[in-house]
Amino acid sequence: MVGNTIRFLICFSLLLLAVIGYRFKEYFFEKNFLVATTLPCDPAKHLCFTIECPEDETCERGPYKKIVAPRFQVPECLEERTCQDFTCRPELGCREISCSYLDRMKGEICVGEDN
Amino acid sequence: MNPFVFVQYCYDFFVHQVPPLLVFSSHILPALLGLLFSGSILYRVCKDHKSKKLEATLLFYVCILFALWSLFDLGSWTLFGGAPLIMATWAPVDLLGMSMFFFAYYFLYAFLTGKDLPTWQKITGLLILLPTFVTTFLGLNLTIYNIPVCEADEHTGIIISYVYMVKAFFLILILVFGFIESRKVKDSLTKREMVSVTVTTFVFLFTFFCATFVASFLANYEGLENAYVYGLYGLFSMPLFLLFFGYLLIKYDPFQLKLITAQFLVWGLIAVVASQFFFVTDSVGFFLNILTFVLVSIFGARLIHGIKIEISTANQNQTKLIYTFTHQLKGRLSKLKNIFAEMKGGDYGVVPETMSGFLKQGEEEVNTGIAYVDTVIKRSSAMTSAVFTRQTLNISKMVSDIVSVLRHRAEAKSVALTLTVSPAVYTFDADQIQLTEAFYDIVENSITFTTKGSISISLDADEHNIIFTVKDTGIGLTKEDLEKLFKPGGRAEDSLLYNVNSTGLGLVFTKSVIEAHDGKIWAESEGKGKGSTFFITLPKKV
Repeated sequence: MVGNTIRFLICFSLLLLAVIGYRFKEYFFEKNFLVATTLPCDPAKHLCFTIECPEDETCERGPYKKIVAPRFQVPECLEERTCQDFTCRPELGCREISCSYLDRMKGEICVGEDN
Repeated sequence: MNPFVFVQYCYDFFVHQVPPLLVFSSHILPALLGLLFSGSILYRVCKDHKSKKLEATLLFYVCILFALWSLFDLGSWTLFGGAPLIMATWAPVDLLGMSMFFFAYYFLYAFLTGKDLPTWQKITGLLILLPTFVTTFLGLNLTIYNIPVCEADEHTGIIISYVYMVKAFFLILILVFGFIESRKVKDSLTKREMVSVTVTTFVFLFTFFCATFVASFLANYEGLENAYVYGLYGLFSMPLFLLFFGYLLIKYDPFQLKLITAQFLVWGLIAVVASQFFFVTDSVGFFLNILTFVLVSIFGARLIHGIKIEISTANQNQTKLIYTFTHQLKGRLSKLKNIFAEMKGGDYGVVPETMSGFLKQGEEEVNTGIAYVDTVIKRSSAMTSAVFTRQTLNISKMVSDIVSVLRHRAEAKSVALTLTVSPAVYTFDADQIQLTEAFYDIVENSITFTTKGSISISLDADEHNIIFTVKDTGIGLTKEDLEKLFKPGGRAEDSLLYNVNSTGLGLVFTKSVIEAHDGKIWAESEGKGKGSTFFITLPKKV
């Protein structure tokens, strides 16, 4: 009886380890997943996101654009938010998201022009 | 690229959200306690060959899953470890949580019924878990890593809803199954035990469920974005579960591990009090915690000591009672055997033809009774390793007497039985009845398992030990036989072909008696059909 159970537990554990191991390979070692972040945006050139600021408050955050890119294609500094001159290159899978009705989150508004 | 990073920005974000110590203690402490507790139960159950091995194994597995869940969930909390670490550890969290719920049900099933889960239920369980296995494998449960908030975005649709539905299903199943099973039992004590274990398992999982589900549900509402933090307190459901489970183990003692449970509870309590030192900020709190720590340690040690004495006294009394009863009974039966033998031999006149059949039957019944009492004596001695009355024995004479008694049995099988005694002093303080029985059993075993050839018995002594050796040309022993020979039920592979009445306890008894006399016993064999040699050494008086 215990032998059967142990065999079942071993099989289940192997299955579990296979799934966890595969995810670790994909995410941890190959960094094969998408990251989303924001970069400063010039409202004179693009349609940018900005936070809707209540009238009686001062909002420090300026206009921004959103980008989505594969993690293995972007430098470490992007995650640490220390990149000085990062450019989103579409040929590396990076995608810029301009402000639109669909992409706005709660509290966000669009500013600037769409060129 | 080094996958291990430290993201200062996320560390600041993390520290701002939640006390780091709470995150680490809520994940590590319960997981370690669970593993230690269930691991000790499993170790003792396996070591002492107790029943409930299935239940202990499953409890340990549930705790392993909980520990893995805690470890991976902790990974997803340590925001400063970088996106790859967070994604890799977060991804299997739901799968591990669901698996834990399924195996908690499996454990409860085994505990309440004493049986393994039916195959159809195992397959159904796997099928229920399968969608989450697939979504985790394909990485569908996490959609993206959101750098500004240092965390992954979880899939909000059917994938995550399915996880919560499955957990809720197992919760209901545990409650319903537990109460249905307990209703089948008439004995009120067993019924109470079953209900208690069901409720304890349910409460543990329910608290865990609330910690994850309710927290993530509340976090969707404005102003409650940090509700995840409260979920951390739900992880302390494991120590609560262990506390209740420990209480049940002491009360009902299903694993017969009263002492180890008490030890664990005391150590667990000491660990919990000690962990408070990390949270105490003022001097009064620090002083009170030191006082609590000292008091808990002292009273805990006294409690364990008290239980040890209680168990030891109860065992000794029980053993003495069995020993006295069985020896009295054996004495009476032996006298009866002699009376039958004398009657059959005509000591009281010629036995009528009509009566001799009854006398023979009576003698056989008495012999069966003596053999049964012998088994009880051996079983009792084997389990307790008790030595009752010591007296100075001449081992050489004892061995000679045994050989004389058994010689005709060997000769009847045409097996040569020789005894060689080297010149030495062979006096030894021992329990005469038990030691004679142990040596007798070894020689008798050799005769039983030797069909041709010879048995050479020798008695020798070196500076420190008396050495008794029985070498035969019998059926021999395989490597596997040698490993289990002195364990309960660990008879040799072919032993039942030669001795159908073998209980598998004879050598356990012998080992127990020899070890109770500070001696050693072991066997050697070159393999099947190549004979075997048994060695016993007894320490000489210093």
